Amino acid sequence: MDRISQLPDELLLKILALLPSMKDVVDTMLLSKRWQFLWMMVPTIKYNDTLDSYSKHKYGSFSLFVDKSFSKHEAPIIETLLFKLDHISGCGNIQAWMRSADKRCVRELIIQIDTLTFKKPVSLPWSLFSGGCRMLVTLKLTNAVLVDDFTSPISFPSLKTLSLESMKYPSGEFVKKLLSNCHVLENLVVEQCHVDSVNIFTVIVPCLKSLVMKTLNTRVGNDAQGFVI
Amino acid sequence: MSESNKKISLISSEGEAFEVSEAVAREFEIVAHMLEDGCSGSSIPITTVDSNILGKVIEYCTKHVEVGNVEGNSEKAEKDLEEFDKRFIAVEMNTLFSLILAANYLNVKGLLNIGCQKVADTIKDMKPEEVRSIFNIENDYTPAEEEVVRKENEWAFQP
Repeated sequence: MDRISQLPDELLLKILALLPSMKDVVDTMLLSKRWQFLWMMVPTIKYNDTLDSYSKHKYGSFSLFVDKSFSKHEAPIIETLLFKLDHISGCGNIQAWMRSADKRCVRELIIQIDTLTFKKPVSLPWSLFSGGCRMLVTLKLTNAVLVDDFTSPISFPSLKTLSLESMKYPSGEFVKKLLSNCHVLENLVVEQCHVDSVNIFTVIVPCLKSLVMKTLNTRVGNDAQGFVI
Repeated sequence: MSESNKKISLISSEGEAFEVSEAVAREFEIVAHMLEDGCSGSSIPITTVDSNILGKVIEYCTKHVEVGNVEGNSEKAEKDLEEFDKRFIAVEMNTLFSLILAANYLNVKGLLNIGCQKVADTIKDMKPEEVRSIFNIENDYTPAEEEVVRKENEWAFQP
């Protein structure tokens, strides 16, 4: 047998996890029988739609690709789950995808939305995070609108790193509540955009070790703007 | 600093001894664990790795220890190290897989990472046929079997 196929599964999975997108990973099933089911165990899933490999494909198929590959994927722990979405991929199913992710053990969840190409903002109802975040260690969100629809507060018992870039929030009170449910948070990165409706960003987190706050200078001037730490 | 001046001999599968400082030997996590477990011998046999590959792994670890020892690690030093890694891992396939297996066995994480990354970079954006030919993978699907796999996974292989 050739050298690469002789590597133990553990090493082949490490290699697959380093591929830039899930499409590359799934394609390896065609190499030989040795590779047929390996892709289902890859610990890192990157739905990285802006790569060329997808643009070669006819659209429509991205949603189907995510649905199918995610439902066939079997690794018990997902180290990283990345959704990088733009107008080609569409975001119509992000809520359904998040619900299936909820049932899995995801350690790092990254959702990046390319807003320039979207006509409408993409909203993430907060209740989407209710099931699967108990194991979540890292959460990074870019360019989405958080919607406060929870009845009981959602807690992130393992979350150590939270990054919120150019996000929109329902209110300052929401942000305060969100952060107060991250009991072991150590790293917080916030990049505020000019229309996020939060003037005072309240950070009360006991274990915080690092805090990075960026405010875009295009932000509309407002006397009541600031941070409380 | 008497600790770091201590020398340790690593013995390759052919029995060749490579004398290295303890700091370099400790880059092999497997060796670091042996030392912590009270293995006080000054020579450690690495029976699954041959001289050629062991020499290369030592070269990698020595460079990384040297750079790590420089006070106030500058950006330039980091860049140099990146350049070193890039050159170091640009080897032919057989050597690459031997390095990956050795790094995995000896538990040298940095080397394992750049080795696996190199393979991933080679695979990405390639058609299965191209990947097969680069790595000499024998396609043991019959044409009919391959057709079934493609058909069952149509969602992944739409034209």
